Amino acid sequence: MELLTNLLSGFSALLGTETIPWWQPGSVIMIGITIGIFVGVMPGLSASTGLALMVPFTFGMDPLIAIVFLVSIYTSCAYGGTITAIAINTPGTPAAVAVAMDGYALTQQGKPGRALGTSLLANVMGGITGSLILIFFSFPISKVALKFGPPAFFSLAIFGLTIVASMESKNRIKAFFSTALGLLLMTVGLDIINAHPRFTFGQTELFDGFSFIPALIGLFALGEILLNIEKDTGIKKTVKTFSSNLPKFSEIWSIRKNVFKGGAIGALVGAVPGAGATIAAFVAYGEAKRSSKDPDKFGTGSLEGIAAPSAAAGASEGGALIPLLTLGIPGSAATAVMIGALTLHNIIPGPELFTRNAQLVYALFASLPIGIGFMLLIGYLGTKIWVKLIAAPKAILLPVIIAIAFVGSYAVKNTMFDVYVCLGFGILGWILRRNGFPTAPMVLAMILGKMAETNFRQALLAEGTWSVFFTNPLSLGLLILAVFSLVWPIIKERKKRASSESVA
Amino acid sequence: MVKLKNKTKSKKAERRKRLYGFIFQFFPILAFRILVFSFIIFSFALADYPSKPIKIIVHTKPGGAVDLMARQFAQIAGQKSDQSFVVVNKPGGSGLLALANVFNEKADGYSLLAFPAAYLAPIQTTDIGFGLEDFDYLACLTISPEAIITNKHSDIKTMDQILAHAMANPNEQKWCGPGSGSLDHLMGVKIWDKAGITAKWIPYGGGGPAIASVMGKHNHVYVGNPEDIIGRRENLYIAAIASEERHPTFPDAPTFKEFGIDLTTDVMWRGFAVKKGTDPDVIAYLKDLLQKVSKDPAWKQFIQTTGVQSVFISGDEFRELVFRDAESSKTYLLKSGFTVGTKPKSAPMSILTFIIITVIIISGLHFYTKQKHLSKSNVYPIAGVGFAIAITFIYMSTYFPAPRTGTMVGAATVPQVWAAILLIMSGMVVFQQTSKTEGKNSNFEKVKLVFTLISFLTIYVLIISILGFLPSTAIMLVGGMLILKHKEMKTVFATTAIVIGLLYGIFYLILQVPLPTGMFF
Repeated sequence: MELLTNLLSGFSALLGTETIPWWQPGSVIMIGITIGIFVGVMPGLSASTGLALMVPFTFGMDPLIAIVFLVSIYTSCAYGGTITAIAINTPGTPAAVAVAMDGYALTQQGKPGRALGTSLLANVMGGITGSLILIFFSFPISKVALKFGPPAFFSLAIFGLTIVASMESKNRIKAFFSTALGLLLMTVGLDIINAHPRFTFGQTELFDGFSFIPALIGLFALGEILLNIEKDTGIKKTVKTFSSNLPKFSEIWSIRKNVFKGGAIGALVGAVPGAGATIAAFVAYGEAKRSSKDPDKFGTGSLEGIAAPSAAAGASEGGALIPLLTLGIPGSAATAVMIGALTLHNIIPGPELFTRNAQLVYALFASLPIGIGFMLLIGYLGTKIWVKLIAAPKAILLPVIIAIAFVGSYAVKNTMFDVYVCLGFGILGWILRRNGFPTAPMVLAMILGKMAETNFRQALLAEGTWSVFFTNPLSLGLLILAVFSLVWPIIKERKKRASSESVA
Repeated sequence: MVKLKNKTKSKKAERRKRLYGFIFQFFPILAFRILVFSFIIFSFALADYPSKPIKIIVHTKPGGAVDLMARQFAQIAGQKSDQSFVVVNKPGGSGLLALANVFNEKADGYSLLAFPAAYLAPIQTTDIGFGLEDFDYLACLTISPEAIITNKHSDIKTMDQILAHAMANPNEQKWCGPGSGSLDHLMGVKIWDKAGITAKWIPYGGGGPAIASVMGKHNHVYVGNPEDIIGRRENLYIAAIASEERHPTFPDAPTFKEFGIDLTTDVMWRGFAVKKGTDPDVIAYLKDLLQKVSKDPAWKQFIQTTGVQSVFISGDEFRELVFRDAESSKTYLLKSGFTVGTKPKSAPMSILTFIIITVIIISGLHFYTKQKHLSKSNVYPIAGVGFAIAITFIYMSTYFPAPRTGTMVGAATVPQVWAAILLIMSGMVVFQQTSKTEGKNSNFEKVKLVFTLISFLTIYVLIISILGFLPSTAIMLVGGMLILKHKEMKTVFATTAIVIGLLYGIFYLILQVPLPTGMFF
């Protein structure tokens, strides 16, 4: 009951106070959402960079307005990332890689409107799920999140990696090859325990390893462009017209389970500090495929395959706010910037926040559904524009994407080296994909590789024994899940093959 | 030209001759004028430093503690100076890329380096061709004493409990903090040394996850600064602070001295530096500006919010602090097994090895497929490169330092495991391919187009540093559209103009992220 009155006071604060005119919160949310979608759309501009660049604009604002503005940017980035993933197979954020697999397939069939609409709706529903979980369960979840020590994180990373097995059923060996290559390339750089430079070939730029975002942009955006030119499977060639038709109601109804499951997975995984939206999106994709009645459709434009990761990505942002607000611990790079930005406004995240700045916290909570409403509106209006843009002649569109890809790679760390990394990975992505090696597993490996190694070595260093991975209940549970997710798709296929053979 | 002039006696040459005469006659005057003019501009520039925006180079990504301090500084310094200040993030290379960036710029005072204590360790352990001597230290603006933080609800909470537990369980207590060989790590080693205990250091990727591990009772002690407990006083406890007196903001926190441990001057400081050789007048200007900012009420309020202490330690005194702490870092770096001043051991001729292995394996695979009359496929070279990368990485990893005593896995273990998996997968790719006969379906003309585009993009990337980002991107856009055979020139130029305009507007005007400039722009 107390929670509800608090929430009501939060909503009333958004309608204006003595110091804040009534129109300000609403317009700030709308501007924030627009900026957030834009930041998500631009490959290379991640939520963390976007937020950091917007922080100076909040200096003169009332703290409440500032926090609402930043949270709006933050919550809409995930949706922005899925737009380019679907439209041009260039994920704007790492989590959107999972959305690209089926979303871009639909675009190639001339139905970008359906893919964009599904992803928007799933994102919105996921966002609502995430916000509800944040509002009602943040304290119990934060207690569980703290239980994650190095052994559990290691097992979570391994579980994440095993999703590759269910992700790619046609080319499993090639997918594992990409995964192993990604894992190995991620060991380049100073190792966390000894700070020894590994495989750097004397390059100071490689001390922190390959920058992930430029590598991602290269593998997807550039690789896609090169492949597009070679195979001429370009969207323009295969389809004459693009339909901006949104998905039908029956289609939306059919994916409801995936949306809520994805939302729950996103909020929970997002709440574990350090896990984040990408793992959530891939786990949701794997789970959607496992439980689907039509798993063969995945990868060829399944609406379920778009909805689950979109919902997870949308929900994970609310989830990542849980450790931020309740513990003062950033769950991701973007929330780390949020902590800094809030500190500037004399708002220190942590358990004390709920007693000291209660009105502010609940105004933030109240701003989430309002922001989601705006996101639905802006996203709906935007869909038609996106469909128009991707219908532009290929010879015009592709060089423009290349320019954005390179400028985005540069902006991550302000170094030309990352532009070279982007080009290198672009060529690698083209070579791999033209020969049937999928690149999404490589991206997943690059995200999870460092997490797996760091926590593996931290666990062994701290406990001194291998058994720690099996005696820690969280870790054991995740390892069992990992074995299950690795073996299940293979068994399932064998069974299916056996049954179809017996029929024949 | 001369040859041409001698050979022909046409009117054209005559006219040219007259022109040259004119130029030669006036050249001395012209040269003199240029000299005077440039002298005026030069003295103007010196007298009127700063005449263009000043960059503040920061070694973290946007949003880090140092970055936020620099951004706040830029805001206030911009009001107190005629010029604006722009924060430029150069993360990477454990912070060394930011140092290298300032070192490679001119010593003209337009590249201000945010200089935190975090630089001391990497600059000493890495051989990068410059050192602490190559910078002029302007002033230190904030300090915060080092502190050790524990879980408030743990049995090992106070300094006495830490000491008793560590004495009873030598080398078992778990201490954590950001990084290995970092300021906080070395502080931990120093505390163990002074207190006569032994413990384990568990490095984390950053302060946040390490604090979370103490809050979740995965580790016993976090080494950081007192402000790390702000907002979490219910969960965290400061066991001791390295300062002479108790901290004004955290009066409950005891000092190391109160437990008879001699640690009173260990502080984490953040200041500003410029490249050595900067004009003394410029240095004086900047020092004066730093002092003005340090006294600004808005600055003081910001610093108070972050929990550190606002100070103004100028020039020589700051320099002394830097070199004193560098010396102390060196002692404890060596104590914890780091090499200082020498290059770490690495595998000789690793790139050559990679090329040789690649050639051997690919030709081997080629021979094998020919022998067995298998279809030609591009998959073999890819698997071959997979083999070669795995073998090269394993070869290089044999030169990594051995695991520390008492631990089973070292720097080489995990890369070797991944490399082994890659080897197996490469083998399976080859095996899978031989069991099927898959023809390849690619159009040679199209592949040629792809190669053209790749070479074009390579040139584009390389000329960015000569022409600057926007001009070369304009060339790339036009060239790219032409390579892809777009016919209408009107749309080509219109699109290029729009894209360049948008990029300029977004990056320069809105985000204020400077894109690389070339020699001319």
